[in-house]
Amino acid sequence: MMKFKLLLIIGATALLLLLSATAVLPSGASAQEEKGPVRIEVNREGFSKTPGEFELEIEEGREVELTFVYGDNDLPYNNPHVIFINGYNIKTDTLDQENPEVTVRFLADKEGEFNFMCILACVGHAELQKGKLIVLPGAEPPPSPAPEQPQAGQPSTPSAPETPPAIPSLTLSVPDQPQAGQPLTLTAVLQNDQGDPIENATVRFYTEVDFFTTGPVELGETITDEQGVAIFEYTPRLAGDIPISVCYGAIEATTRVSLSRADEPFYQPEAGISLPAPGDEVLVGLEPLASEEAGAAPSTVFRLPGGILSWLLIFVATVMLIWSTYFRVLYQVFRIPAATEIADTDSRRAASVGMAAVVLLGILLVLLLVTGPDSHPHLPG
Amino acid sequence: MRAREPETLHARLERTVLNPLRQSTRGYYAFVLFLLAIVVWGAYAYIVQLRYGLLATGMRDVVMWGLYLVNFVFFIGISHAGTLISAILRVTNAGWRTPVTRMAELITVVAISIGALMPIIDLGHPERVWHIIAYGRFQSPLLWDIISITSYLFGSLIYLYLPLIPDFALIRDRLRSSASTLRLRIYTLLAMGWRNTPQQRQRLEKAIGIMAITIIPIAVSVHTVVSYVFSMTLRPGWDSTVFGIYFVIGAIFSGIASILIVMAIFRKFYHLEEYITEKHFRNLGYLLLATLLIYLYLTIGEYLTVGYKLRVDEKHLLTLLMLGKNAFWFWFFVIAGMVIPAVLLIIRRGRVIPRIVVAAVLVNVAMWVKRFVIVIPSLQVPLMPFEFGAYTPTWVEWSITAAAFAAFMLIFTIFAKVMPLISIWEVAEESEEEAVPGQAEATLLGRPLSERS
Repeated sequence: MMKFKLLLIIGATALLLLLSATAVLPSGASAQEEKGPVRIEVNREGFSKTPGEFELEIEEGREVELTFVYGDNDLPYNNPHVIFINGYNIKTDTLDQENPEVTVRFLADKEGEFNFMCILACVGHAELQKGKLIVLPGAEPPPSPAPEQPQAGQPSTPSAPETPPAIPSLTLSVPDQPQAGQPLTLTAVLQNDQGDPIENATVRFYTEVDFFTTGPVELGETITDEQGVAIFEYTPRLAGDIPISVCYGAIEATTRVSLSRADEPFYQPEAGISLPAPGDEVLVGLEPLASEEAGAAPSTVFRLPGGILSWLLIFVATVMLIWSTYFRVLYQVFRIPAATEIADTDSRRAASVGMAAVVLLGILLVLLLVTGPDSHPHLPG
Repeated sequence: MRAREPETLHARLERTVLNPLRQSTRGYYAFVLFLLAIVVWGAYAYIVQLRYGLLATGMRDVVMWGLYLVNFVFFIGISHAGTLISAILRVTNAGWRTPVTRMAELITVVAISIGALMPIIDLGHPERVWHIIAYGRFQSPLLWDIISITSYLFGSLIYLYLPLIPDFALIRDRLRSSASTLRLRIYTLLAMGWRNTPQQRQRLEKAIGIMAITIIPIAVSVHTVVSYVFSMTLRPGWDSTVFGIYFVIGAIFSGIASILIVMAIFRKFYHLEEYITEKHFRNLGYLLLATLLIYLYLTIGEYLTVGYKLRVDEKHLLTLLMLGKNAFWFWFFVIAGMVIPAVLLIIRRGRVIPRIVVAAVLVNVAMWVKRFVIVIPSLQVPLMPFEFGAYTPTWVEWSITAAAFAAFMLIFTIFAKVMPLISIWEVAEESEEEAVPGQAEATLLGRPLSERS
């Protein structure tokens, strides 16, 4: 009997130990569904030293507690991190040598997959972009109670007929073949449940933007006219597939817009004041300037904004005047030995060779400079 | 028994000034080793930075300039010392400048050399510095910086070398028996066959005259262009039309203070009291006070105009500077850099040289802090609705900063052993001019030219 009790105690202890070990995530493997507080080590190799994607599964509706632990103590300097959880818009305090543990608590009330990452420029930044929080669907809610059945012999009480709530309708339309950089006319139509237009109602337009986090950004608001129509002009700046929504109270209408790339850069910066120039813009180079794909540098070209007599030549002439003064002074100095009959060392040849070398180097540098790529090819002349 | 002839002024000048070139003490070598150790430690810190990248520093995406740029502006600033003392005072024929011109010109060359290294260290990828030439854009103030600093460095080197030619010739002649063959050959080459003939003097004086006039506008342009790196942006605190003159005056201000400190040190250790007198400290003290007052006026004007309009971002900056986490540094600059030195320079109580040198030391320390106050807080104010930036220099940055200052002192210390710290021929000429006005041109180093042929 005693032996059996002892075995029972040992077994229960072992089970407890095994359960508590799963509170710390094993490295190199996807996490199991977590039910208690979770500790995640953050270092330059990734979350809990897991290179690649790191997953954490949690059931919807649960209270979540995540403790991030600083793991870069072997570095000779501080490597701070700030962890951000997308979707829940949760940002931790700075995690570093002085603050080695930070804890966040929140309710996992949204189902889906949410990315969490370090948002500081840190060592190992790329590895710390791959955290994934998976919120699994929660348990089904209990069924709603069945309506009461009338007892035998008792007259049935007629129930009042259910009237559906009056919900206005909101529609959103966009033009065909929209293009990035071109004005986009968004048309919203607001009608009541009878199909009559709702006048003087404020509707708001939104789009989704990815800027540190993904979320809705209000584009603006406008008021419906007597036909219940609200028109809003918006100029998108990025090509691609973007959602646009319009809201009236709790009612929302969403549509996706596919924006094609603009034919030419739509951003035309001011070129400054157009001062009268002696001539037109002069380009000297291998090929004419042209807009190229992002990432490719414009071709090498020598550009004179105002023709041959532009401000650039004045600037270059000033610099060359200074350096020619230096050469003139040095020439005076290098001729010192020739002014006397006593020659300790005939340095005249060295002076000539030195000056020739410096002049050649100077010409090479100036040529490299003036033929460098011009980074504003789209500016007007 | 023949009585010993008293030593002439020129002979004593030569002996005193050339003595450091003949011998070195143990203390000198110990000091050099100490400075070398700091430089080596700084080199190690740089290797750590090269290995781990700029993440080894405190610079990040918001505050992306730090101590390196502060050092850059500071060293380029004190390089104006040589131009002011040597060129401007030469052009205005101020004879008292002669004992200090060499040190001032040396400060210029060494300071530019150290200062020009700082942006390369700040780059992170030093091999990309050639991109400035290969892919340079004329629209960029950084390119203007490269052109003006390179021009100033080259011009300063020429301007340092020209007055050294007669002194190299003197060393060639005086140290012929004691110097090594290699050393003698170098001095002979550098002396360019100088024999003090009228044609050589005419050529040299013409060259020095041209350089004195040329180097002044170049020096003004250098620090103006350095200020454009900041004032051509739209950041609060930097977006200012007065930055050009503000930086130039600040540079002259800290440059004069640097000369005073260097003068005091070398006067003490190389026994130059007869040549660098209280008069020099007093005159430079007046210049220091004058530039202090101009700098104070510009500082008040700068912050008054910003504080009067109080744009939102500039309000944040002023709060950060005067009441926030940078307040200590800002008020340190104001009090230790302007108020206390002004008091020391105006109230003439106590010994002249210690009083003026203390003021100069305070000015230099405070002007380094002022450059910190210019560079860092403006970057901390965000340009978009975002968090304020934070910056704490790491040990890497402090080590490289210490190495920069140590390298500055080390180069100076080594140069003191290879060239005379006082322009012997100019001091001799000035002494002759004071003794017999109009006769200075006919003699050099105590011997009339007619005796030399």
